[in-house]
Amino acid sequence: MSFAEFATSRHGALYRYAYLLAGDRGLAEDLVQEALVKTYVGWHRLRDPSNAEAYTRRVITTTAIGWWRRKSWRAELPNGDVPDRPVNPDDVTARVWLWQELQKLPPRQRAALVLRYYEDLTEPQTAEVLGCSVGTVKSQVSDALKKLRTRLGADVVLKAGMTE
Amino acid sequence: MNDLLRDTLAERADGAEPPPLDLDAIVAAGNRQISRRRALTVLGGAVATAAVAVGTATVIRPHNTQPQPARPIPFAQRRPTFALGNNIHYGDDVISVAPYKINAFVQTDAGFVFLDSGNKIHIVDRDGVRGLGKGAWTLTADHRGSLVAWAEGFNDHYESVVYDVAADRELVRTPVGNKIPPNVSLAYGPEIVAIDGTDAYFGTLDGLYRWDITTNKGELIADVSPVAVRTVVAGQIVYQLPLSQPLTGTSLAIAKTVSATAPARFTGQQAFLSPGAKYLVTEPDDARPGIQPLWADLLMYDTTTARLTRFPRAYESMFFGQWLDDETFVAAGARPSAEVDLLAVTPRTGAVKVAVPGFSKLTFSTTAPRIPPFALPTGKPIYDLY
Repeated sequence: MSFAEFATSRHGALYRYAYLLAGDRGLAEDLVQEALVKTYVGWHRLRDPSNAEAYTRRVITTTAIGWWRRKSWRAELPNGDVPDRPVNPDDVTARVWLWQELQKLPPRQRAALVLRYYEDLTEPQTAEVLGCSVGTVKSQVSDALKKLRTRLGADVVLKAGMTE
Repeated sequence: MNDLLRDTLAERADGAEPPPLDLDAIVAAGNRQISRRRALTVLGGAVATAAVAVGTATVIRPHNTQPQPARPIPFAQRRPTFALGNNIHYGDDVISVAPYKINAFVQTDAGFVFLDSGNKIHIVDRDGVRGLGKGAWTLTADHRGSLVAWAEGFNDHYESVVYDVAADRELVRTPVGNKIPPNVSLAYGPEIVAIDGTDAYFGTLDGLYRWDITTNKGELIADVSPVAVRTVVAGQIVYQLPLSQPLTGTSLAIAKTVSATAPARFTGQQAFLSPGAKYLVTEPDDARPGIQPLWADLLMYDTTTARLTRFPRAYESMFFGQWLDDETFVAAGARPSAEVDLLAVTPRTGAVKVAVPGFSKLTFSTTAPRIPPFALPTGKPIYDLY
């Protein structure tokens, strides 16, 4: 598989992943562009092209965390349409609320949740993308869920079973 | 649960339609990185030696993973410039953007940014053309620097965007002030009034915002229509009077703040302030139906004395182009034969020199948008209403 074939076929999935991390379309586009450039530069070193997607996701994740740490994109997430509290946890308002709360999580915790509950990666796979131990992944996910539970209220359903 | 979290993430991901993949830009950027690495490898020995020598005085900077400008300011110089079809004529250099047709464009130090015939935004620099996957009606740039800005429309709001061409990334994207009320037809849409150093000025539906690009924070500084303020240069704000009547406001004031009681010292609708705010070029007649903007009678003012210099009436229509520096600007003049000359004008003396004779014709396409074959680096297209 050539780099062009890889980039063309996986661009959509990588962009959606980046969007979930960044919460902003423009930043997601920047993240994917940056990550694909690095993948292109290192393409000949990726002995198995099937590793390219994992490598690119890792670059997206670490780049996103790095940008966040430098506070380069914290400001001005639109929130004018978000209600004060979710009324019904089953309706769309709850999802809007949850999305806003996800944006407030520290980047590593948000990345861990996206990898576990959107990408459906296992804990060891998540640890590999984040470059940390399995134990750290467990604690990141657990802490993130605890925060969401606290902020959303007990009736909005982030059950302990989520961690596995 | 997990369903709520999974559903939320899946819903958001499904709703995020990916922009077009610009593979050429990725490969070009990657090749630049590879070239730099090779160069650094060759220089490594020498650099290491030098580093030891000056080691105590060197601050090690953290690695910056954000995109960096590949080359130093290749387009910093302002030259007599126009676009014709799918070429930008930058002084003696011709830059092709084929197959795109240029409707409007601006210059930044890092490259040109243009709107194609579908109002899509593209950047062209020494590495070629790359689309941003965005659209806008007009573009705004500063006299210097690598920033460009535009207002992007959505169903229920607009977003003000500032983009760094050198770094290839958005610095600001905000919907502040631009929520569209339900069941309303806007007489004027939001515009980016100006980029002035590290501040951007957004003409929003709520009023004029000054936005600090470095901190990504802004403040509402005037409750006026989105188009009441014409431009901001060197901290000087040019705005119409009376403030509340955008269709009939034919006088202009220059001040540090927007005030309805300021003295109106200048005649005109459009306003182009020189980089040091020394001279103001205006056009008084563009509220008339016809070719827009109809800059048929450019006026030039010294802003300190309000002394007026009129343009020689050798041309039937005049179109402002760009300030080259604080003493000279470029304009296009259409002769009675419809031939258009590119002109270099010195407001202090009123001297006009033909920089490029007969570079195009002032003729309009028969189907909308009715635009001529050429464009000037104002960020706005020239068009004919009829």
